[in-house]
Amino acid sequence: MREIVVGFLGWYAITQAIGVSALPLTLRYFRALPDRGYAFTRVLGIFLVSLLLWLGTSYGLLRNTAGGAWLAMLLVVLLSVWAFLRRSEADRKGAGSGPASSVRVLPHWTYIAGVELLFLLAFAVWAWVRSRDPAINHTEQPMDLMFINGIWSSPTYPPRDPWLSGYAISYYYFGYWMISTLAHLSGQAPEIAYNLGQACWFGLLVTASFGVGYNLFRLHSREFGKEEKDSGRSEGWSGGDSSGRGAAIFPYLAGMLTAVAVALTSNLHVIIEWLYAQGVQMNGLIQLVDVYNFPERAKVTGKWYIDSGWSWWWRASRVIEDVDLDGNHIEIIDEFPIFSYVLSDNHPHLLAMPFVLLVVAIALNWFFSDGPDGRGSGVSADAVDGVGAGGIGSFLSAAVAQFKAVSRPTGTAGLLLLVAAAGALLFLNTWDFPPYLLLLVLVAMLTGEGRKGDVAAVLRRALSRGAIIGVTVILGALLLYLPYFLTAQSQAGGILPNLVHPTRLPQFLLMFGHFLLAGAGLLFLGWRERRPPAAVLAVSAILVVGLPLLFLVATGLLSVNAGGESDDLLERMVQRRLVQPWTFLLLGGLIALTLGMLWQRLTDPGSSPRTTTFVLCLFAIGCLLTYVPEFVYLRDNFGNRMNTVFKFYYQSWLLLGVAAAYAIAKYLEAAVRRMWVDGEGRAAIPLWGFAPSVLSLLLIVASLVYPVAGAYAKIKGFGTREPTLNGLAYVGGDELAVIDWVRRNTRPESVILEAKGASYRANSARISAATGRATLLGWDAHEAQWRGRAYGEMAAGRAEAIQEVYQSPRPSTLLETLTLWQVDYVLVGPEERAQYGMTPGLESRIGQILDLAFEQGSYRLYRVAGATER
Amino acid sequence: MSQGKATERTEGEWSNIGDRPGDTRLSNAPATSSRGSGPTVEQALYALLFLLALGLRLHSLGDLNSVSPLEAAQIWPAWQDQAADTLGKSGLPEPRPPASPLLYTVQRALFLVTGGGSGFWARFAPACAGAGLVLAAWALRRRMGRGGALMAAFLFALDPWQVSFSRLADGSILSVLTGVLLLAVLFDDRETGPAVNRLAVIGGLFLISGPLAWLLLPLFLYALYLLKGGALAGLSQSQRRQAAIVCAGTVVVGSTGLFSHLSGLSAIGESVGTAIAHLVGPSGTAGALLADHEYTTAWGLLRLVVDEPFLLVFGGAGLGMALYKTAFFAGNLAGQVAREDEVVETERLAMVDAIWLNVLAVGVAWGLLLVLLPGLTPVSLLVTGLPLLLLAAGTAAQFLRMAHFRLLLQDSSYVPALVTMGILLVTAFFWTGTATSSLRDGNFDPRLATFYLLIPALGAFFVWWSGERASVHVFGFLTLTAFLLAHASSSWMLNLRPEYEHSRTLFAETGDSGMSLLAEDVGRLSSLRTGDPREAPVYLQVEYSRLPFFLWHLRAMRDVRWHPGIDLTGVEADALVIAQGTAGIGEEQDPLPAGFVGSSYVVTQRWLPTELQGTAGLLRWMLYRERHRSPGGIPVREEVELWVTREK
Repeated sequence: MREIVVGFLGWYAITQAIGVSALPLTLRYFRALPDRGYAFTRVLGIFLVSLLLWLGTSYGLLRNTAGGAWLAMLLVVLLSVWAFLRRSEADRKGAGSGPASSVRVLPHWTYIAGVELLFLLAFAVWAWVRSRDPAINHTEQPMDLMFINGIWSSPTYPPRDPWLSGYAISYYYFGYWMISTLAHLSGQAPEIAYNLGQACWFGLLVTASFGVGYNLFRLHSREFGKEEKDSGRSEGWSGGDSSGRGAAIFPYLAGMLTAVAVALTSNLHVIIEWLYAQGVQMNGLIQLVDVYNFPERAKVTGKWYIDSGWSWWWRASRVIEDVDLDGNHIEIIDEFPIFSYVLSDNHPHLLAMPFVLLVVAIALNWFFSDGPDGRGSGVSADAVDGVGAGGIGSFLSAAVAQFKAVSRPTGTAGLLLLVAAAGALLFLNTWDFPPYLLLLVLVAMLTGEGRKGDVAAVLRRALSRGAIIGVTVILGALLLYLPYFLTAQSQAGGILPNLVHPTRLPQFLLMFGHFLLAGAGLLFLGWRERRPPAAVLAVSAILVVGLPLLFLVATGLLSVNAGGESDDLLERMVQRRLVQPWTFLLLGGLIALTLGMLWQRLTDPGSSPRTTTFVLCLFAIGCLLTYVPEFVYLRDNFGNRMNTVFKFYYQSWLLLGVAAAYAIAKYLEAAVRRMWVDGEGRAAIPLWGFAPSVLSLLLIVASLVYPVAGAYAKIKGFGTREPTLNGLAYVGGDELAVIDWVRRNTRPESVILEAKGASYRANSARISAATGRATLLGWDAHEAQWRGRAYGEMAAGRAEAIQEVYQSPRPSTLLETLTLWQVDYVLVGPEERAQYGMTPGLESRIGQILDLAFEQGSYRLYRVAGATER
Repeated sequence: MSQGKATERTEGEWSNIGDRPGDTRLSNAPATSSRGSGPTVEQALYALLFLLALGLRLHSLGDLNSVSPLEAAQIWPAWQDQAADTLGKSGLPEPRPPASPLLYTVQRALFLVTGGGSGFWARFAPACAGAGLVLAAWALRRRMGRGGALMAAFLFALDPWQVSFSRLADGSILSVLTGVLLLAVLFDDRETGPAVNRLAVIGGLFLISGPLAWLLLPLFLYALYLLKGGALAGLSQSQRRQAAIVCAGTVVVGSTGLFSHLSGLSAIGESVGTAIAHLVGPSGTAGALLADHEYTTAWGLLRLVVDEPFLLVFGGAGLGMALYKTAFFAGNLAGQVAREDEVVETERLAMVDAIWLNVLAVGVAWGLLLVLLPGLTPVSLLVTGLPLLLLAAGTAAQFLRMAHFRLLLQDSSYVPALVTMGILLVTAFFWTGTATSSLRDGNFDPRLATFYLLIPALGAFFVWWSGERASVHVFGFLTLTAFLLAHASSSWMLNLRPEYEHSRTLFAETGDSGMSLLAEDVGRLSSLRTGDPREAPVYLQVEYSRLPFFLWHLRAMRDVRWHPGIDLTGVEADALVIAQGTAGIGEEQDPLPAGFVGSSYVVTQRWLPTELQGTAGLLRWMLYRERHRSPGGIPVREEVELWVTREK
């Protein structure tokens, strides 16, 4: 227990120190947010420290050690000092000079205490959960540990891939880098950092989503002047009358709702599972949603936690199903954040979440840094129009003017931060980059001057602004993260049309129904604020629904004619699309409506609240991400849309969750005001917006059974194991001794041969995963995924070489083989004996050729002559 | 008139006064400038103290103590980088970055200039820096007054902890030196625009001097805060920028060895990480440098009592008085230095005096807090030691000024009393040794204790005979002398006492002279087997964390390989194998591989006085630093075995 407490407190202290070191930066570059970015300071700090360490290591200035990490943190402190010294005139006037002035621009102490408590609570609770289920031994957990160890033990660039000796990691590894950085700082070994890191990320996710919700709500209140009115009556939590106190609580409520929607709630399948487990009959509903393996593999248990097995909570991540033309099941992944945490893989999509929210916060801050009607940009419409007129010189000068206008609200350093944070998504989880680039482009389009007048000119200016920010972010990211791109390969091989797999509406609603209900409330809110003309809606609908339809028809015809497919493909495609058009139409309709509203807000700025505009942007992108897999998907090793749905739906969850929480909070506030406030503040509640939002809230609350029951079921009741945070504690003593010996006695770049790994088998390639020392070939299927077409050449001959070493070690060729592959040590353990059928005779032959370096139990580690000289 | 001009004029006048014959400048006379025509008595005293300090530090510097693993971790990266050509592509793993980037750069330069590495040259820079503290005290004269600064110089020259760290290949003493200079610059009210570059350079060097700098940094930031930015506050934007660039440039140039080793920047972070470990304790992954050494609070306080009695008494008294009444030191501080005709902003100076004492008092408190924290190491002691030394110097100088000892010595009737009491005190030291010895051996004679009654009896007689005022003077003088002697004695016993059985370091782990024997035997065996004392391949079967230690001591060998493991079937016939602990698998097997012969060597010792059992043993250690004769005082030895193939 002491080990858990000390490890937890050490990690917490480090995140706290990082947060404090980045606080002045946050206070400066999130000025437009009501909380001055306080909720994001830890996220920003971790991001900056890790980025500086990575850049320093990549360019040979730093080493990826504890020392390098501390220096990176010092650099963040220096940046903060610089930001503090160069704080704006407004801040100086408002807060005075000296370090105490920083304190004056901090948000109210109740907010700080709330955020800190929320982080500590989420971190502590999840650390406790992890301490009851610490083993890194299932699904792709060993892969995550392998990446962390590979990075942790690589003092120089590039971080080595422990499962493919001689090559650098080819995966979006920045999240692993961050955990490794915190491990260096807190002095924790990777197998402990794995669990503490996950708990910490949970805390970051909860606080960051809380921050987004809180800021959105308060910004909206500011726009309507409610805040001033309320603050006149109350200060924070105390004082004032009851309505004032109530008003002060709403931003917190909005923040909590957002945190719950994004981080804690599950999809609606858990409600059906729970009711079924309690014996409730609902055959009609079950048949309607038709989830794979449900209820065939479900049981009526009568238990609150449904079942102690894996099936029910796992099934929630597989509610979407595709069926091939022969009627066979195709697995589609539809994870959501709390599922990822219950499963407890540390995958990039999970590690990227807090940083995605950081980008959302940066976008929000930027959106509100610009004055109403884009006055903050300070550039004339004439200069903007110059982009498309005259020669190259005038084009360039106009483009520069535009660039300055776009970057003015944030400042150069702010723009740099924006580029770094948005670009980091390429490196954190590449799938996350496009939606948030789109968000930034939308924000750029919706800010700036010259948004009144001729529609074509308005559109041209908006597109110019969008293009400038888009190009800036892409080029900046490519430049900043160049060392990553130099070593990255990808399995992506283009885009394929999704001809025959429309998502069934009941399954889609099972996944996102609760958010879409509140989304309807949001659209109603937007509609009431500013109703778009019918013509705009019509054009929007044609573009959003018509173009994909056209695309599908065209690609379908082309596939049939050019691909030599069976004659009935077109017919079955049409049949499926006609039978199951509802998801497509629902999403198309929602997006068209949202885009129509956004267009209206673009051409008539100042006519509607900017907060709603921003949330509509999030909602539109969220819908778009679920809409895209309806007609295209990324071509990868899986050969279907599984990964595209998985990655896009994950981000949709976040965006729709934020939008839904905002809508619910707004309607709740309206209801409370109606009940408590007399006179002018009393307003009618629109039933069409209120009812779906309340229903959405009820469903979200009902879905909260998932994190509790899911964690309880996964851990089998919290009480069966001795708690620890060591993810390798489950490994046998002999194998642990080997791991320890390797760590203490070999160089980080040593190659230690072990049996070829097999994907998802935790005890294969475990020494390399646990030490970061490379083996010849680890989980081969995964390596193929990460490296795409390059894999074949990279892995050629490796499996055969391993087989030769273990199955036919000849004195004449063994050393030659080992030297060829630069192997330093050869491990012989139970896995090698089982996989290659090693006999004692074969083993003794290896012993005759190689030195025995270490032996414990059934493990022997042989040393190749000259191993340390390489 | 600007402050700068006033200062220049005043300094010129001081200089003239300093030239007056017979001006001994030990009392209330103003501080002098060094720009006189010929050395003054004061300058001569500083020079003498510097030579004394240098002598104490350089005496048997390379060979009295074998280089310890801690030092080797600092030295090896510099040696490896400097001797890369001769080492060739050895395939040895890259060492951890050194904890002190500045020392790394200086050591590299010294290895380059001297053409070879040795323990002496590895420790030379800290030794010089330690002696340089005496000269740094000169810079404190405006803050502490002439007497206080001279006393500080004296203490710097003799102080056990300062001498101890000066004789180590460790960056801590560089931190102390740059820290003292930084304090002097921070509190020097003459510092204006142009002098800020000096501050920036010293600040830069301070930041890269090692972990201790990061432990002292909060104190300096606190001082800067109290001084409201000090010299920095009055700078223009461009001057600030320039200072920042100079500081950053110093950091980069100093830590990268003039850009020859860019990743040396990481070493700055390494020193920060180590400093954090001094606060929170070693982490599981911090390596062997800090791990497993149980320095306790009791150990820290014991070392303070035993090694630094002078600082404890006079520094403690100074601290108490500083807390009680800042004005106590007023005569000793800056206000006293100024001449009457100097335009002195007395109010401001009084405030700076108060800040100076405040900073020193907070420094002591911070140091004591470090002693309580779980990361306590000998380096933490210096955080207490430095402000305590400055306080003690100020207090002692003030006592000397108030006591009128010249008058005391002129009265011949007091001299016999002084001599008698002095002899009694010195004799008491040896009697205590006898008493503790007999206590330990179980034949303690209670009559021995009656001797101690003599001291108060004679003291009481003297008080009755000479009167209260004279007694205060005599006992004050005796106390000062006794504690100064104890201070000098501690310094000698901690650092220079040559006997093998005495611990000469504050650190738990020390290198043993057996390591030198091992290196000699390796060379001898190599000569016998290959005809060349450097030619035979040497295999090291030691843990990664111990590599720098062995590699440094065996640096003469051309072909040293790291060979972790237990089997030696593939090694050459003329190879030498150094194995840590026992070889073989399981206890039942022969520790030596078949066909090998070998012998054991003690290479390190680990011991702390807190491991001693029994009061008598502890008392004897406190008096004589003996550790071998008392039960429980046996150091833990790390042994290695040197194997060679049995000759046919």
